[in-house]
Amino acid sequence: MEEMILKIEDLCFSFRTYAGEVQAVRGVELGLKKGESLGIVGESGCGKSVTAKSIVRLNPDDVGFYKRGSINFDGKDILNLDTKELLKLRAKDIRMIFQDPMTSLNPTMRVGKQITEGILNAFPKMKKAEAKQIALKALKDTGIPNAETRYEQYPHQFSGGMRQRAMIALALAVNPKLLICDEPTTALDVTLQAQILKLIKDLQEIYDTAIIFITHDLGVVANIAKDIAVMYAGKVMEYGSSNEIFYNCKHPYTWGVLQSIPKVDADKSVPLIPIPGTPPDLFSPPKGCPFAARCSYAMDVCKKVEPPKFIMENKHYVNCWLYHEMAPKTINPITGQEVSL
Amino acid sequence: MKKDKNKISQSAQSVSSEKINVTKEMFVSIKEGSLDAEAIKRPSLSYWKDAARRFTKNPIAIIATVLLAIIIIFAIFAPILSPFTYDENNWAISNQSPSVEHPFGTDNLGRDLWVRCWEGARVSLTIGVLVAFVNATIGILYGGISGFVGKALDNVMMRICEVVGAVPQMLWVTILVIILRPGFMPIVIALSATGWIGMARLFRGQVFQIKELEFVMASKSLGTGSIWIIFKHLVPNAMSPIITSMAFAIPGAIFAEAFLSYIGLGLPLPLASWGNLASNGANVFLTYPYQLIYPSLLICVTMLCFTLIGDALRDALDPRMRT
Amino acid sequence: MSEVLMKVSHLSKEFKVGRKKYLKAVDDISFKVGRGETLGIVGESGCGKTTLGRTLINIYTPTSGEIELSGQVLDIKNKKIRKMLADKMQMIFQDPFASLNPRMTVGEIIAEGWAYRRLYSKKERHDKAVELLEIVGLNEEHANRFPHEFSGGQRQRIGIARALSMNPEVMICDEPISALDVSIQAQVMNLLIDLQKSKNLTYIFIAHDISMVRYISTNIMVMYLGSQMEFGTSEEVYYHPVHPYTQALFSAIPVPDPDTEKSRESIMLEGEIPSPINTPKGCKFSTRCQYVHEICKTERPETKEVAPGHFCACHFPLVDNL
Repeated sequence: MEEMILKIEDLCFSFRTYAGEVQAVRGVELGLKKGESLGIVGESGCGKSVTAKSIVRLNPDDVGFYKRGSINFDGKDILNLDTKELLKLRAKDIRMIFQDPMTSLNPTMRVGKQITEGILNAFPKMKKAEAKQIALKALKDTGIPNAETRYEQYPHQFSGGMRQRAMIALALAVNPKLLICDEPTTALDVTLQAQILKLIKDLQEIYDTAIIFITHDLGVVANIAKDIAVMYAGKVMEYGSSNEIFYNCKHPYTWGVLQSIPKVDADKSVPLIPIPGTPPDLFSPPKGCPFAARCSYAMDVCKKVEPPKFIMENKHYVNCWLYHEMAPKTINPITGQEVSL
Repeated sequence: MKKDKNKISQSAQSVSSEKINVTKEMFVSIKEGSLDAEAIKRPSLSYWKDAARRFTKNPIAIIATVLLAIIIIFAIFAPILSPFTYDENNWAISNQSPSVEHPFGTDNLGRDLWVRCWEGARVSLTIGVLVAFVNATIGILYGGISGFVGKALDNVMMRICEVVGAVPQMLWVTILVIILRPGFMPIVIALSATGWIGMARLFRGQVFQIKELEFVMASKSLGTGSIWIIFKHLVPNAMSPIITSMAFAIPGAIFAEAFLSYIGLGLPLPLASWGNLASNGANVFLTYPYQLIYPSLLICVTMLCFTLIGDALRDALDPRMRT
Repeated sequence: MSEVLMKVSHLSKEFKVGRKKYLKAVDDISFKVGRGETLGIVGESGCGKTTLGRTLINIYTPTSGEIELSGQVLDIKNKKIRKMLADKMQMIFQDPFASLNPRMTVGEIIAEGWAYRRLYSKKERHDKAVELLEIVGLNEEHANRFPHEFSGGQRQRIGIARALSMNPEVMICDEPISALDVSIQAQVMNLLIDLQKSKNLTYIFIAHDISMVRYISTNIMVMYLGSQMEFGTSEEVYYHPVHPYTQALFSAIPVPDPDTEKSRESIMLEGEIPSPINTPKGCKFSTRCQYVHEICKTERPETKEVAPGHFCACHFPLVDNL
C-alpha cells in the first residue's frame, strides 16, 4: 500500500499589499502518493501557483505570510522546518520547474556545471567525477543530443525546447521524490509541448517521481495527470481522478468550464455556454462559496456559509452545498443524472 | 471530527466547522440574474488624477512643494515689500552683519542682501524654468519627429545629437555667452542651445516604444493620420518621463547659471542672481561668511526641493498601478 | 463558397533584419474568403499568421502580391483606397492590455474613428458609443471609465465595440481570446458569433487554439514558417488532413478528454521549428517531416488541389486520409 508522501491541510497564504491583504490561498487540502501525478487546474489568480510554491516555501516571505495550515512531506513539517533542512529538501527531495527556463538557468554558468553543482548540493559526499556522469546521463535522458558537447555550453546557446529539457534534467538529476511543474509548457508551441509532456511522463516512470503539474489547460491536464484538483479563488472546488473529473464531475464550476469549451465534433451551431461574470476580488473575498456569484445553481446558503467537503467514493470530493441532504434535486448537466453523492 | 448539527447521509461524511446553524430555508435557489457582474465599484480615476493622488500622499513631496512655494512667494513679494532696492548703494552701511533691518546683512557696496537674494531668486528661478521649458519643447519636437518617422531620418538626427553632445555642455555655453555677451537672454539661449539633447533622446525612446503598441495600430486601422496619432496617443503617453526630466532640469539650469557667474560670465552687476551673489560672497567668505552662506543656502534648498519633487513625480507617474 | 468577398493572391511580406538578410514572414499566400464566412488561420510561432493579419489590414505594407476586396484591388498607394479601407476592415488585437490607450476613456476610444472624421456632435458620439457598449454586453456607466479599471474579457469587448464603430465588412481577429481565462473565452466567442450572424460579418480568425478555430471556422488554413501548408473546409482539414504537418499538429494538441488522450497515438515531431530567417531549402517542413523524400529537400512543393476545395503544398500529400 503506497503511503502519502505529501499532505497539505487547510493551507492559507496571503500577501500584504499597499491596498490591504490579498488572500491568495484559503484553506487548501491536498494529498499525493509516491510516484503519482496530481494536476492542479484553475484560472489565473486561483492560487494554484502559490499553493505549489508553498510546498517548498518559495513564496516571498517579506510580503507574504502563512496564516494557518500545515504541509507534511515525507514526515517533515515543511512550514516549521529550519532553513538548513529546507535547503536540503529543495536540493534533493522536492524539485521545481517553471514556465520560463531562462529564469531558472544561470546565464553565466555552463549548463553542465549547473547540473553537476545541483547534484553535489544534494549529495555533498559524492565525488565530482561521479556527479558529472550523472549529469551527463540526465542530459541524455531528456533527449538532448550530443550531451558531452552540450554539457560545456551556456544556456543562451540552447534553443527554447532544449532549455526546457535542460531545466528538466537539472530537476531530475538528483532523483527527487517530488517534482513540481509550474506551467512548464504554457509558453511552448503545440508540437514542442507534446514532446515535453511525453518526456515528463517517460521520466516519471524511469525515476519513479511523484509529480504535481500546474496548468490552466484542460487538455494538458487530461494528458498528464492521474488525479486532478480544480481550484478557484484560492480554494479547491473539487478533487478526484482524471476520469472522475472529466466524465463524472460534481462541482458547478467544473461543469461550467467543461461546457464552455468546444466539444470535439461540435461547430458554431452548438453554442458554448460561458460562465457569466468574472472571478472575485481577493482583497475582500466573498463570504460563503466564492463561486456563488456566478453559479446558476446558487442557493441562499451558498452566499452565507462556506460549503463543507463532501467525500465520495474513489477519494473524489467536492465542496458544494448541492450535495447536502437538504439541497433540492438538481440535474448534473454533464452526466444528465441527478446530483448525488 | 463531526461537529455539524445535520444528519450524516449514508454514503458520505461531511466535515463542517461552521458555527452558523444551517437550516432548510437556506437551500433556496437565488436568481443570479440580479448579478451586478459587470459593475465596477471603485470610483473612476484618470491616470493624471491617480498620479496626483499618489503624489499628494507622499510626505516628502508635500514638504518640498511647500518649501518651494514659500521661496517663490518670497521671491515675488519680498523685494516689493522691502524699503530697500537691489541696487541702492550706501557706503555707510557696507558689509554689515545680519540684523533686524537687514536680515541677510549688506554687501561691500552697502546694498541690502535680503532684497538682492530675493531679486536673485526671481532671476534664477525664471532662468531655470524658462530653460527647462525651452529644452522640453525643442526636445519633444526633435525627438518626436525622429522617433516617429524613424529609419534614415532618425539615424541622421541622432547622429547630429551625438556630435553636438560630444562636446561638454559647459563648453558650448561658455563660448555662446562670450559671443553673445553676458545677459539674461543670452544665458537662456546658451543654456538651451544644447540642453535639449537629453530630452530629445528620452522622448524619442518613448515614441519608439509606444508606436509599436497595439493601441496605436488600432488607431491606424481606424484610418487616423500621423498628426492625430502623435497628439492623441504618443504625446499623452510619453509625457511622464518628460515631466520628471523637467523637474530635474530646473535645478540643473540654476546651477549652470551659478557656474557662469563664478567664471565671470554671469549676469552683469548690479543685476542680482544667486550665482553672482554667491560668487561675490565667496571672495569675502573668510571675513564676511554670511555673504556666501545665504545665497548658497537658497541655491541648495531650491535645488533639493526640485530634486525631491522630481523623485516623487517619477514615482507617482509610474504606471505600476496595473491591477 | 458564397460570394467571394476577399481574395488574396501571392501575398508576401519581407522584413529587413540586417545588412543583407531578409525575413520572409509571409511567403506567397493565396486564399479566398466568402461573405459571412470565417477563415481560421492556424500555425505555431514563426508561421507568420499575425504578420499576415496585419498586412491584410495595411498596418504593414505588402512586399508583393494583391489583396482584392469585393472585386476591387486594394492599391494602398492610392490615398482614397487607404481611407476607404478603414470602413471595410477592422481588427481585434491579442493583448487586451495594450490595445486600449490608457489615457483615454472607453467612450473616447470607441468614438475615435468618428471623432477623427468629425462625424456627429460630441453628444451623439457618446450616445452611439453607449449603443455599441450595450451590444457587447457592457453599459453606459462604463463609457467614462478608463481601460485599467476593466478585466481582460471586458477590454476585449471594448476592442470589439471599437472595431464595430466603423461598420466593417471584414473583422480580422488576431488571437482575440488567447490572453483570456477559459471561463471568459466562451463569453467573447459567443459575442463574436452573435455579431457575425446579426451583421453578416466575415471573419479572419487567427489563433493557435485549434479547437476554438475549428469551432468557429468555415475554412481553415494551416501555415508554417510563412507558407501555406494546407487549406480546406474545417471538417476536411480537421478530420482528413493531407499535409504531414497538419497531421502532426492536430495530433499534438491535447484534448480535454482522458480516454482519447490515452488511447490515441500522437505523432511526435523531431526537433524544433527552424528560425524564420534561415528557412530550409526546398519544402520548409522537410527538416521535421517523417515522410521526407529527397525531392522535398531541394524543391519547394506547389499548392495542388487534392480534393474539391481542399489544397495542399506537399510533394506526397497523404491522400489516404481523405
